[in-house]
Amino acid sequence: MPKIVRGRRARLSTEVPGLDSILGGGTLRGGIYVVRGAPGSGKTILGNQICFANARRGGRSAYITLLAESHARMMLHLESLDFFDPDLVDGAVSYLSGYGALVNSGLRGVLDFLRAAVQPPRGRRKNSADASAVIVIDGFLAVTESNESVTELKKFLHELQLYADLVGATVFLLAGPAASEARPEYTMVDGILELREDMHDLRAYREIRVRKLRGVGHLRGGHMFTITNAGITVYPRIEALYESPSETDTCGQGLTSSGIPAFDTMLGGGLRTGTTTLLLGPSGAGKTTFGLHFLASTPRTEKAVHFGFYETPMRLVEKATAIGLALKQRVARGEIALVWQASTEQNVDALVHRLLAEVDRTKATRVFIDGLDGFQRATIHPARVHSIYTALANELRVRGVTTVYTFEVPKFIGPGLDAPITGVSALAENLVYLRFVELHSALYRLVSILKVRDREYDTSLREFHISSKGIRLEDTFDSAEAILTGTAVRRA
Amino acid sequence: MLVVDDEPGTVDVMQAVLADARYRVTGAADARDALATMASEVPDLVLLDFVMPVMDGAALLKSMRASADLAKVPVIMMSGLPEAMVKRKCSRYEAFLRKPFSLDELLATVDRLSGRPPRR
Repeated sequence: MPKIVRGRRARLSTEVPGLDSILGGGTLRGGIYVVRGAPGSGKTILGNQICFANARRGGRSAYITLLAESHARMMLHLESLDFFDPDLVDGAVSYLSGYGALVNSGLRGVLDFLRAAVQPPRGRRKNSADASAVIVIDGFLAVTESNESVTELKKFLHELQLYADLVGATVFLLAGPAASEARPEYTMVDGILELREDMHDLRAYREIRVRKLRGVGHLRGGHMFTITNAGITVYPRIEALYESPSETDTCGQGLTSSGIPAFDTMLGGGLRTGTTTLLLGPSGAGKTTFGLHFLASTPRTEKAVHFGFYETPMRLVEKATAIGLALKQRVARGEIALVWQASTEQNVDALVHRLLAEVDRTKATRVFIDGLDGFQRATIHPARVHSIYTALANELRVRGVTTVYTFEVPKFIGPGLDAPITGVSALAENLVYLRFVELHSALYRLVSILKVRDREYDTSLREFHISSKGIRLEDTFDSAEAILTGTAVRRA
Repeated sequence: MLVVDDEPGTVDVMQAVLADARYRVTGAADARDALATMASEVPDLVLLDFVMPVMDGAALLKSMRASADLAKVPVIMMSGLPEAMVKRKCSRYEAFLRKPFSLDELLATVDRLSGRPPRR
């Protein structure tokens, strides 16, 4: 079923993942949109993807080129894309060349061609709103570069607008990069989408930006998108999409176990549901092991998600088994989902969308994010990091999810703690610091709680051990000062 | 049939789509032009834009209803304004189309007032 929002002017989904979100819900029926960008920016794929999606839901689509190139060549490239369906071509999706009409009769000829080529449905349908129409005009640059006057171009656009309204079509004009923002095609249309490819060091990335959109609020600024075999996927900038939390925070009052009873006692009874806990510590301090305890203690009636950048699911299961945690069985039963992605060239918005989608799919109440710094490394613009974490924490909180994050700090041994990201600690209700302490030429692990918001907790340091039975906490250390300097010596 | 609209292009498009539906259509860009056209040939039907400069749709309609020749010519009033607002100034039209309207709505209204059977 087409996703049409009823109203004075109905909106029509583009069916391009993520695109409707930045367009405030889709395109206007009868609206005209300019999609501009340099060659290779993805305009043709976007236009075709919208055409096929519309055809697949029962609408009619016409892809009209005003360039002197064959459709066969374009289709050769489209065949590898998942959305391309040859059975729809020359039926629900028509490929037409308006080049001759433009050359022979100018803009008037193009309009006449359009009217003749894109016939409205015969007769009135019971649900005529469902019979959506999409017209893509590729090579609009050819129109703007033709010898027509600005007045003629304005008249063309006006008549195109009227015709689009009459036949209920949404029109996409594919054009080259903007020569001037004041051109008539930019002032008269309902929306302007700009596609571009850019580089960050050696890394290439694609970005879409809504330069103009009439009649509806939209997500301003740039948003990353990818082109894969599935076509275009847009990843709305997470801090823009969730500028405010999507739901109301119900402020859960219950307590849930961290999976380590002695640590629950230190926390004052456990973790408050719907809160976030940040486990800070150097590599090897035991952060992942703490998180595995948290996951493995998920109540039987609930679901959990592990979202990590380091251990693959198989290694993670092995690691849990080695410390006596029955993760494997719970994963097999679908109670715990393990989501892993290599910490390579990732797109931070795609990562956050993937995580939230998995939480929504599983209706998880617990999430363990192993490597908050994985998001940081995937961020091209470092200034975004704090806003991204805020939006992510808010979204998990309003979904009632109790979250544990790990974050690696560089200091390996010693008393100090370098804040990983300015302000990140403010995002978490609970801050836990794991560290190594050198004692008699051996390394010992210590855990301390730096913060539990709005509740009394045990501020003492504890030594802990990791064995085949998992984590075991010892009594409080006496000589805190000696331990914090990393130079403690055993008393006689 | 006569289409009266001051917006450039609207008359052209309406003429074209109605011609496709086998109607003979004449266009007028303002009320004065429309009255001159109707003086030489009384149309079967008038599609009339409500908001026009100098003499608006309401004034033209009033003038038509006062004319012996044009009093009974059916009129389809067109406007982007809600019909309730239009009705405050005039109501003696046979049908109302709120802009933007679809081809289905246009043809259904024109067919009905022209006595054509509904399209299948």
